[in-house]
Amino acid sequence: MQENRIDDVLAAFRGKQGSLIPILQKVQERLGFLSGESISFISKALRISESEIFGVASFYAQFRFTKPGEHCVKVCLGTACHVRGGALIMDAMERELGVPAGGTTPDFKFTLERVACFGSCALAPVIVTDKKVHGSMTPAKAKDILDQYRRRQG
Amino acid sequence: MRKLKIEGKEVQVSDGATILDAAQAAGVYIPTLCHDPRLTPYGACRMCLTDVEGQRKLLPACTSPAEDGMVVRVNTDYIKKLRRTVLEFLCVHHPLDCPVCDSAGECSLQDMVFQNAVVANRFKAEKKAYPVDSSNPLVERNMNRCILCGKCVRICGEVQGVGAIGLVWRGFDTEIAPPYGRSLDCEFCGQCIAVCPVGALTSKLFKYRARSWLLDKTPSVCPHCSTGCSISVESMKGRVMRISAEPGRGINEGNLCPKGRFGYEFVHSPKRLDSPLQRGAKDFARIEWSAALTKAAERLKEIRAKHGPASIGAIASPRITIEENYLLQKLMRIGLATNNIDSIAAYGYRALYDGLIPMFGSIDGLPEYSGISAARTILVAGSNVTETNPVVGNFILKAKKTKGARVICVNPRGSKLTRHANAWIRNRPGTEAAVLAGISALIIRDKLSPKLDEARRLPGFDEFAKSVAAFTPEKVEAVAGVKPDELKGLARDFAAGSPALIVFTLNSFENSKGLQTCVAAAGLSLITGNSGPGRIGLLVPGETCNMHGMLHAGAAPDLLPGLSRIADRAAREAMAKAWGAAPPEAAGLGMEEMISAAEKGTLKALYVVGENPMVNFPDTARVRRALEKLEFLLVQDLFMTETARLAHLVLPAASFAEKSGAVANAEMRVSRFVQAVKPLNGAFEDWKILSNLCCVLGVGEGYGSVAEITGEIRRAVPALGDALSPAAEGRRLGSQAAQGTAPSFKALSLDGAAKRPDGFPFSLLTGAMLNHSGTVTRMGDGLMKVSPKAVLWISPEDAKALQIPDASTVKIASEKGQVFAEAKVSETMPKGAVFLPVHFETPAVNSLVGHSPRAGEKEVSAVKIEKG
Repeated sequence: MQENRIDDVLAAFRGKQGSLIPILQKVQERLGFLSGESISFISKALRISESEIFGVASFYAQFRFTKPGEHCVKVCLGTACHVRGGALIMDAMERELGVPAGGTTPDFKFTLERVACFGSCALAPVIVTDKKVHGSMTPAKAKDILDQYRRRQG
Repeated sequence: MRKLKIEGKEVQVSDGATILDAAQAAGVYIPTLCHDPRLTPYGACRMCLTDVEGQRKLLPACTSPAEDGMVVRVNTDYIKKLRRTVLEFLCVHHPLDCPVCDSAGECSLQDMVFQNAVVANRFKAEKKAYPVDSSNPLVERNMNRCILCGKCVRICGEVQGVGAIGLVWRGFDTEIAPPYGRSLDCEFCGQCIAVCPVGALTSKLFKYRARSWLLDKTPSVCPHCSTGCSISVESMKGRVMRISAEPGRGINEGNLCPKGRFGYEFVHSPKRLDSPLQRGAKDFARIEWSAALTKAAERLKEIRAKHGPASIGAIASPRITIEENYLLQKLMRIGLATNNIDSIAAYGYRALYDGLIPMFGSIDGLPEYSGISAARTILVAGSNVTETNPVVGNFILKAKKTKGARVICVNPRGSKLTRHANAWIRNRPGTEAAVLAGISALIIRDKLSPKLDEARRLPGFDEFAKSVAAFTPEKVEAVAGVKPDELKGLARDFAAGSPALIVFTLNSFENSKGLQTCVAAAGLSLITGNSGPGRIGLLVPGETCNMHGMLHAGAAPDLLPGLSRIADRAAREAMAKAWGAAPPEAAGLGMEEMISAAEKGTLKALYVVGENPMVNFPDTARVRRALEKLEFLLVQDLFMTETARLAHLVLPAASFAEKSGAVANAEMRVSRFVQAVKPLNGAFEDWKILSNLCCVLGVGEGYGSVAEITGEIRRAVPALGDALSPAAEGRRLGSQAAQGTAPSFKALSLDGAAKRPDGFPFSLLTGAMLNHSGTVTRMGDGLMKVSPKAVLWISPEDAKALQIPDASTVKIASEKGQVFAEAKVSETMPKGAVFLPVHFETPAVNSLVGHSPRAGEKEVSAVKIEKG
């Protein structure tokens, strides 16, 4: 039960007004995303309707509502990366992983995300896997990086 | 008071009023798209921007408070230009599919675009392309048309207390949706449809049925629960197309519940009876009306001649009008010389009369709904008011939200109300009277109420005090499972929180409360000074629209019209003068006695009007035995009900939309059904059928109109009749009973220890569902899609222990019988109790429930649950 995994989070905020967003952050930290089940649990504890909580959470880019993959692949489409072919890298990644930007592969191995600038413009175009930045990407190099991750797990 | 000038007109408004309120008071029109008087001002649509002298910026009228000396202009050229621009922005996204939009003709956006002549749009952008969501039973969601005014979100959250939808995502992607892209799963009250200013939310039942401007609106009253909501029956070419409510009319402030808004389909159900039917050797055969009436009269006369008047009885209905109930009792009392007439009230609501009349002297003066908003404390005892009387539930939520009333629920089952309540005491099923007695005992013992001395002077106080004294906190804990501390807190809050209102239902469908709950509640209310002359701190909404009206009309074995006792000689003489014949002196048989008599074979004929005992009365097997034994069962109904199938003769009646007449709601306030469409061909209004039967049985010469019946009631029983005249719209019913009698106490007779037969470990609670009203709403597809069947609600703990997965079939058995139902595992249920709603033929809940040995007393049935 997920409830057991987040009830201490809720306990820490009991009786405090205005704690919905910190709770959502903690829950996401714990679960990696905000599950429907967790929101239903928060709803009961705070006596706020699920749709109101979802309304608040979905307003912020920081919250995600689907289970993320083991590895996060971010493709930069900021100005510098864009002019140096970032869109081609994104296309290649989408094709390679078989999911659109924002999606997660069915085996929950990879989540593909688009971002707008990491501040590594000198290396454009870049992709970031988990916390590692890879510069001067080409579709082929990006694919190699994915393969490395795939091999790592066997 | 604030004094200001709007468009040159001086206007005074109270403190806290907005510029919009002031403009409305001054008769100045300001367009709005996101405003509704029921909702907190929002300021989203920017249509109501006004120019206030001395302010740099334009102010939204709906959110800006009116101030002294303001000079407000609402129609400057600049504002008009801005409005056009706002509309242009809205039309960037809004599709112009008005020809196929159900809201066309009543769409605020359409009207405003027209008023402001927005003929071209300077802006172009991507149109939205959401798929239209029809995945739920009743509400079609077309988010392409949505202008994000947020009214639906706010009415769902603020007024209904549900919050099924929200504004989700951000910026261009913002849409109104349930969380996680789920399908709408809510109460299906349709309030969101009613407030939507465009066609983003529409009723699936109304889709492509009619253009709104072709509908005839007939003001009427809702035929379902006793709240008495004003409705408009919207019809076209003799068909009811939809039901709506107007914010400015009636007690409901424009609110409606699922039953009220969507429970109209039965009117045109293909299952309606369109001819009298006579039982033949094999099946029912259609017969002519004249033959049917003659046959009915002949059989009744024969049986009367052979077995005497006491062998005939009638069951009245709280769903037919006051005039119709009046005619039925007159027919029985004069035409057949018997007082054998009773109704479903015997299994519930009558306890209110039997409890309150001895204590308060009369039933008059039950609080008006204004008593809810005036209350500081609202104690809801063992009742899911938000389901049985949803709009009364809305009033309670509103009192909490806007007036800060403290809402306390004493209820084993969780509900929407317990979710919103300040305190929820979870007692054991059927122990509400014990909890109320416990509160009274503590208040008396610890002198918690300042009004106690006053109450002490009333007759019977000592007996009452003695009868509740046994309910010490320890005893209440043993009986009801309520912790002593909880009970003490409850007693303190209730005593200190005057004015306090006790709300509960006494529905025949509920098996947990009865006369003693009523006595305990009234006693508690008296000792805390919440009841007394001119005030009764109890609100007891009934289950059907005309419960009070039916009883006031004399549809009871011991009551004459106007609530006079049949034993009262003067009252009988007054009726004799009006009727030309005297009603019999001795009280007739009550509901239970009639069924027993039929079972024994001493009651030979029964005339059932608008009632379905085979589903609605306890102990179905016994009811069946009784009805099958009758020599003549005459049933008058809209449908071939479970009861009609046992009849010898069935007369088809007309629905609320097809007839006129008065009904009285839970406040005893009179409102009227107004005929919106002609009766189905072959069916007749109940009053016409009764009038004809009266003629055939030699009672008067018939009635040409409802007004003639009202006229007779006015002459015979002025206290009742005066409230019925159309001129007295909204009057409350008066009774002939003594007015202004000093209240007195009645001792509680409650032992508290519930005996449970061995081997039946569960308490079976029974009751009504939010989406159904009696058995009649089963005849409409819309509500049947929402609630197609009765499921057994069981707690997660019990389900786990019995290894019953959600949605699996279970067997429920009591000493009386057994039924099968689908299980619904729900946290709203306490351990050890299950809930099964009525309304349906299968599972036949009432076949599990025994009939009560003592009138007005009910016992929670004990059952066992097994895997099916």
